Amino acid sequence: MPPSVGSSRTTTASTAGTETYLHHKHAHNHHQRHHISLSSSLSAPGGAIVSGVPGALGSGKSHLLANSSARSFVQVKLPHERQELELVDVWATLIPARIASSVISHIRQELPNDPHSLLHLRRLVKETDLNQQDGVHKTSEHVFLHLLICSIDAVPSEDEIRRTLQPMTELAAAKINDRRLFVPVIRKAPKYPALTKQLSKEWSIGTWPIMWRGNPNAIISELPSEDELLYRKNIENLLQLTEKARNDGEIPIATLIVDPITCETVASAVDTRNSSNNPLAHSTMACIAKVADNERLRRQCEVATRDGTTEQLPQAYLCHNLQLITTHEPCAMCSMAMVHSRISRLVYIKNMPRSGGIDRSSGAGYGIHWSKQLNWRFEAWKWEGQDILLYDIGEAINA
Amino acid sequence: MATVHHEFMKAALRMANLAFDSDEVPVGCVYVHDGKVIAEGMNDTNRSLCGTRHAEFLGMEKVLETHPASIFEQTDLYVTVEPCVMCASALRQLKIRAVYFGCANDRFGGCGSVLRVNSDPGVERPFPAYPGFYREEAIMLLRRFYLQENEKAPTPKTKKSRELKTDFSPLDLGKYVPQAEIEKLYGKEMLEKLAAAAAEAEESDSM
Repeated sequence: MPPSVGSSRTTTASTAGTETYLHHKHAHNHHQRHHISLSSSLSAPGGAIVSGVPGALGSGKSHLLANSSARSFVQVKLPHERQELELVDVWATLIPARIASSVISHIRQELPNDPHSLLHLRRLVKETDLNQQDGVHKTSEHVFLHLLICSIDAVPSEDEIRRTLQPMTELAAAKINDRRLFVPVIRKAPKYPALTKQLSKEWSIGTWPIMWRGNPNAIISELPSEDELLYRKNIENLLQLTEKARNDGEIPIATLIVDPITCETVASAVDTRNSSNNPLAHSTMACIAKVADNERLRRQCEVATRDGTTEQLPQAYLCHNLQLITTHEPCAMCSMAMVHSRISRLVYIKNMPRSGGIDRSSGAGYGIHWSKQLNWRFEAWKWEGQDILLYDIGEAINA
Repeated sequence: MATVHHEFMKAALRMANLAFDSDEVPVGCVYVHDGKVIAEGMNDTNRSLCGTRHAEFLGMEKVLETHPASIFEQTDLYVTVEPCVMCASALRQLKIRAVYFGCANDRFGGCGSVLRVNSDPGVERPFPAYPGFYREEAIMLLRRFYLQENEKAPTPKTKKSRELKTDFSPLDLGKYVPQAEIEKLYGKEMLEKLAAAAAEAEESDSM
């Protein structure tokens, strides 16, 4: 089903759905709609709020989701385990701030490549920022800086460091006289960058300070805007599916699998565990099975129609290069099913704190999409934009 | 000690053999209720082109054809290979009573090898999972299968990967089963065997 936001067909279906919902309101009150704070832009005119988002979308408000320019997804990808602080010995010295850049370019030229990457460390540190060992010397009107020279492993000999610094002492000595200047000192520095800003701060206490440049594993990066648009449109389709599921007496969880290249929806499903008597009839499992069914059918047709002249289409492998969009954070079963199916990206709206298999704060904290121990990883993005009204399915449900 | 569990595992192995003959990764299972096999399942991922069609799911669907889902609360699963993370979560959601398996699944195992989906905090109650029933038979089936896969590969791998290994590393039973339950389930001989293996390991460590 291609995204058909705001089409007349959609409007009709969704309006009808709303009426059914209101009619059966009491019979299904265990699925109370979440009235998460309705932003003013989403409330439909004429007190239509009660019908929630699917109704609002149907009544011409659908473009609110599709057109908002703000970025609304965050990547669910947290550091795997707590890092331990490891230290490395480094040479440092005190220099006059005035000649800092000359000194740095000089030692860059003179010293060999460092076996340790010290790029995460600050090169220059204000005297007052590194006073744990020295005490504060309010020496003169001159500003001094501590300079990180290199690791001890790069240059083990203190004499060599002194020799390297010698020309610099001449550069400065004319005006300033402080016996601590250009004397090599051994200091402890964090050997590796920290994965989080907080950890980076903690590690910098009592050691050489870390420069927080962010870490690719911890950075919350942005989705390309065309992807964002695709997901926004598909979220509207999902909401319509949940509306229908709800009216059919199912748990209102819905899933779509899309091909990000063609933007086509290749499979869609709602949860059917109520009607099927199968507690495992989750929408994600159903979508994955549909992708397989389609491919089997396609291969059969291909065999039947092959006349030797038509070129054989490349065979699809499971859900490779496909993306899954769903209303609720998938349970461990569905998350692992995505690993088995080689899904490339998961997009979902709502965390499931008790049953989810993705977010580190959900369930037993598996983070299945990003587990080092499993043989496939996929990206997971969670909706963090303006509130979307989902039916409350309860915390004890495995989505 | 051949227990009743071994009898049911034999039935699961028959399904695994059937999978092998159907060019599927040889994993088989049976669901047992009131001392009777109520459903069988075998891996079907290759034929179905679907990575989730594991033996456990095919068997489970067969159970549901004739029973309500509540039957799983009084049902045990015998499966030749440790259920993966997906199946372990599925079985927990079904409230399965217990799972008996042959060999561990070091890549995807969800009952102690990679994750402990069966016993970690979760919405449904945990279920016990006991390894080691006809473990070597289960491993040999997998080895034979992958050997055959390698031979079929367009660029055959090294000769070493074409040799059928017949040795087995010892099973770390304590990783899966609480000490107190070992004797009841596996017999006194198993406890003695484990103690002997532990002593041996200690000896080789100190050398």
